[in-house]
Amino acid sequence: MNLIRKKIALGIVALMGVTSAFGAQARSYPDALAKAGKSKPVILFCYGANYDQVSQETYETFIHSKNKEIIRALGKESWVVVPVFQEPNEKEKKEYEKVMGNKHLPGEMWSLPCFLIMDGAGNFRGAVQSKEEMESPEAAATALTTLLKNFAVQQKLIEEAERSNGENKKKALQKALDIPRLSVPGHKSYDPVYSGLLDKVQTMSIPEATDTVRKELAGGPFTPLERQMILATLAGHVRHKGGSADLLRSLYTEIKEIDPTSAFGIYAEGAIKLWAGGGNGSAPTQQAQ
Amino acid sequence: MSSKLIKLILALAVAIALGYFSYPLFYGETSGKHRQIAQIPTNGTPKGKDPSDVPPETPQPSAPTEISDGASDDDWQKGFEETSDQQEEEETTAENDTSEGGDNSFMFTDGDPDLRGITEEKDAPEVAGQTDVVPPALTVQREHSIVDAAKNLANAFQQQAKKPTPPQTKPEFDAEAWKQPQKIYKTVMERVLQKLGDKPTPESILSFLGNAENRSDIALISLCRKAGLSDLKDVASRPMGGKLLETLSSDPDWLCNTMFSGPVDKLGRGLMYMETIFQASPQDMMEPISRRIATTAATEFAREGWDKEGMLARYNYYNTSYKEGKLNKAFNSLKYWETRFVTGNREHDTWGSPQSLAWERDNVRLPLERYLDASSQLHYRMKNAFGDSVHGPDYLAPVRAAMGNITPLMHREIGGVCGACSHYGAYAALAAGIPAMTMGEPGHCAYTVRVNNDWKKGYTIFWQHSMHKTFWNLHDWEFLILAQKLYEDRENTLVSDHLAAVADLLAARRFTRAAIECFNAATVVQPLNWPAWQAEAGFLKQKAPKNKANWTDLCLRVSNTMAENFHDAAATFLARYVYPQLLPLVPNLKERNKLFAAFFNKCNDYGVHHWDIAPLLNAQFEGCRTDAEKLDYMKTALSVLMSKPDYSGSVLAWGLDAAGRSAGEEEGQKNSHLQEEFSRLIISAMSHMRASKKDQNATWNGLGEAMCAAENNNDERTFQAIGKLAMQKCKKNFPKYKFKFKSFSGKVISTKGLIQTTHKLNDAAVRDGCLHWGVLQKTGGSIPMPAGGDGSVSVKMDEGGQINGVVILFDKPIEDGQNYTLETSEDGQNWSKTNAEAQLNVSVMRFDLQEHGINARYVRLVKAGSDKNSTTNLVGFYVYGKPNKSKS
Repeated sequence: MNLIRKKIALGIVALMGVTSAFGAQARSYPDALAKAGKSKPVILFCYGANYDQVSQETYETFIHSKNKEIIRALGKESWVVVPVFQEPNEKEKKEYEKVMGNKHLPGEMWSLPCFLIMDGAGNFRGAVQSKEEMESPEAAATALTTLLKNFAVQQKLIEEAERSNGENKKKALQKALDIPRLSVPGHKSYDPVYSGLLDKVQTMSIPEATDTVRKELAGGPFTPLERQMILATLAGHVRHKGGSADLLRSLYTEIKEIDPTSAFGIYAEGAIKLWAGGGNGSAPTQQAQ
Repeated sequence: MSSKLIKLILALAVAIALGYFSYPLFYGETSGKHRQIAQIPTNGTPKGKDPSDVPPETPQPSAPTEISDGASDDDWQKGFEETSDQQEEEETTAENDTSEGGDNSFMFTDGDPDLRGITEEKDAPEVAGQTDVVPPALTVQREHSIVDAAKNLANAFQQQAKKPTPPQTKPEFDAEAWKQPQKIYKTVMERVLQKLGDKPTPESILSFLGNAENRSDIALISLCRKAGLSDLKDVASRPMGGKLLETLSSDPDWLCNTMFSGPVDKLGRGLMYMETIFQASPQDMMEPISRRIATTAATEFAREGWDKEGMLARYNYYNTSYKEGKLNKAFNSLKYWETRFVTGNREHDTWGSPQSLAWERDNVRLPLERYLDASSQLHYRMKNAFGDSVHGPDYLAPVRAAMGNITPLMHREIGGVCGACSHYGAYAALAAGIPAMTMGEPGHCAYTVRVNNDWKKGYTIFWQHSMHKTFWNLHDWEFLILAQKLYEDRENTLVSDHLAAVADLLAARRFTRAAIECFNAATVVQPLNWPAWQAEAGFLKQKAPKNKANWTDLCLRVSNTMAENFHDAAATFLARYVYPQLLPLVPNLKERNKLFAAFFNKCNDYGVHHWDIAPLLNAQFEGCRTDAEKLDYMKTALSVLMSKPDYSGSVLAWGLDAAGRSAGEEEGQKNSHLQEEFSRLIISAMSHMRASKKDQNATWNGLGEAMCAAENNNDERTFQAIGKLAMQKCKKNFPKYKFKFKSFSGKVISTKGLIQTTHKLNDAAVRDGCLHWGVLQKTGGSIPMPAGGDGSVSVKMDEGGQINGVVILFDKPIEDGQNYTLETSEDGQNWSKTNAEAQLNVSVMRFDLQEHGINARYVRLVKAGSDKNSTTNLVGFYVYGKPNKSKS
């Protein structure tokens, strides 16, 4: 009897496993949020449902045909298919409302089809939406897997920060912000162009500006992009002031090393070639006025 | 050179001197090769050597020609006719002035051989000495019968759209035949004229157009006339060019879509471009959507004067994207005219390059309504984080190579200002095959995307839009909507376009009565057909420049039809084409005012869109010859328009400008007197503005607009008058501040002055313009302080005086007074910085000048630096001191 019970139990567990592999799809976004709870992500697969052949093909390949790589990447997380309609008719409006309830898609959704990573509170955290990542299930699955792994790590850090105070809180938050391509809810984005830092730095001597920028950096916590931008104010100032190529090169290198694949990393690489002697010790090709 | 030839040259020179060549509908005739002039038979077919034997030349820009003095319009006309009567042996070259760009959709100027031999009116015999031979317009009764007949034809077009006429299995004109396009032209023209008979009427023409083969003949004649026979010959001389012409001319659907889907200027070059595509991918040209892409890309690039390589790249981008299923589904059902907005998008800073378009297509894929928000994917940064200005070359320089010079990608990562944001949004839609375009606004760039046949605006701030893609080189928003509504009403517009095309060929054959009736019928059937109206006006200008009845009729028809909804378009038409001809023929002011009233009666509100009424008023005003007439006109204009809430502010602002201009035109008492009279009229008109609760907003807005105009004109008297009036009529709109601050000794000498800001005012700020006046009063008001960049708020005082100090009140606390400086001036041009430091107490800024001994008429507060987020307003500006004694 026990053996039979055990087999039945194992069967149920196995079935649950299978179901969870294919069955973490929620019918609606509000349902998914409720199921996910505070610490788990909700993934939205959004696609153009009535106007976009690329979206429809992606839906077919990724979702409808239950692509193994995609299903594996989604794992046990809660996910929802969101059909986005162009000039929807009444039926389509209802279909959309059925999925989204009274929730809205975030402004960070820049292109369809895409995977959006939301947290249990409905905050946007990250997205897989570039052409390169969405053009094959393999590429999308790789990007999604990385983001979801990082989400778990980042979520722990956020929770740790919530439990901490002072320097520990700041450290935990800084670690959370350092995780690439995922945003931290509640972090007020910093832009030195708008904060006034850029204007302020431009009126200073190079040593004063260096001091000011370093102090600003120490303030944190900042995302890698924000750190790059803060350093950019100094690098730009050094160039405009006709500072030394070595100093310029070291600043651009510092910006690049924060995240070489980011836009500012690429900018810094290009700037070294253009304005800091090409990184080979030669004189700058163009000196600032 | 014979004396007759000299006469011909003189006549041409006079024509040029009189500006006839500046008009696109000129029958160009200059000397050239010898040819025999045909005689005109009574049955409509030329006698003698058929002029069709001589090919129309390719349209050429008008060449500079010797100008002779002292000849009147009549002299010119006479000279022209005398020369023609002599049947001079000189060959003529086509003249086609396109100086007004896009205004030459219909033309009979391409060196049409028919015209050159024809000296008599075919259907309206000339009376000796009469130059205005155009018969009167259609009666209302006939208009009705034409509309009824047009309905049948519209139905035929509808059927044709559902079931397109298949291409001819055996083309009537094969590639070989196209090597002699003049023969094709002659054959088709003769066939058409024979079918039209001796006395064609709009009704008979509509019946003729009921036959699909006849419609194709008209399209074919249009093709020849627009492209020019020499270009056709050139295209046909190459194997693929000949094949293209054979295929195009034997496919009624394609031919119709090519010829009647918007303007086809420079069609000769357009055909060469199509040939290039045909050569590169002949099979694609047989597929309807690829063919649509090819035709529109070729005709648009040719029309805009863009290069062949760019055209081919654009075609390849859209054709490949379409075939790969990467365009928005909406693209598939676009018609030819709509596709032109897409494939003909303007290349600017590589936004329209295939690489940039492909990147946006693949990375900004959205449902079309969401493209209106796509601009928000960019960060607005005048300077990037490295401190480089967006206007300089360094802003994106380091990423150009690494990011493949993909403009949208670079701006998304580094930032941009309104231009980049708007291009990003518009080109994302265009990349997906959705009609969209950027548009200029005062100091700003916005964009528009067509959603469900409705042009929706994105990233817009102001009502003034200058569209960056146009059909007729007219950039106001209303002309985009006019084009949309015109071509959206596809069947009626096709009827109208065909009528206009027939009118064009009839005009070329000097069937004057039939031509004018046919032009007239074209706008009866489709009152929105801007090119048809233009063609009619051009024809009238040529045939009846001084026929008051014709021009009056045209004026009234435009006022009664197009002006019904499209006020701006109708006003533009009247101001550009009708008034310059008509007003000199109507010396009686009352009669003229009646004509103006016919238009204004249609304008109870702005209509389609807020528009600028000033050019129309200027055109009407310029018709006034004496000061008395000017005053009378202004009085009428004010009384008519001040009762219309949408226009009250604009007419006041215009009146102030006109008064200012009038004073500036000449020195002397006479004109100052006129200005005073104007000002009195305007102030009197304002005082009659209704201030009931219902009209309160309109009054406030109108006065605000007038206030800003007075500021721009530096007219403190009107500024003060408007301010007082606003206080009287709209007191509730003024704040009730009770300021407490430490003042300076002396009187407040700025109260009766004028205040101005260098801050760019948006629409809402203009409407609240009266609050500027309040800033000088003890009640307080509001005027924006520029955020920086040495922007300023200045006060011009009534008489000026010895200044003891200045107190400036802000609407919120000011953290740092260091960026603010105070400057003074005697003349408003040369400014001196005062050494006084700003004394700051929360939101009160004081400048103590008691020890400085400054006597000035102007004072201004200047802000240095830049702080985009810091928008502040001044709520009080008081200059203390001792006023200079009044000069009076």
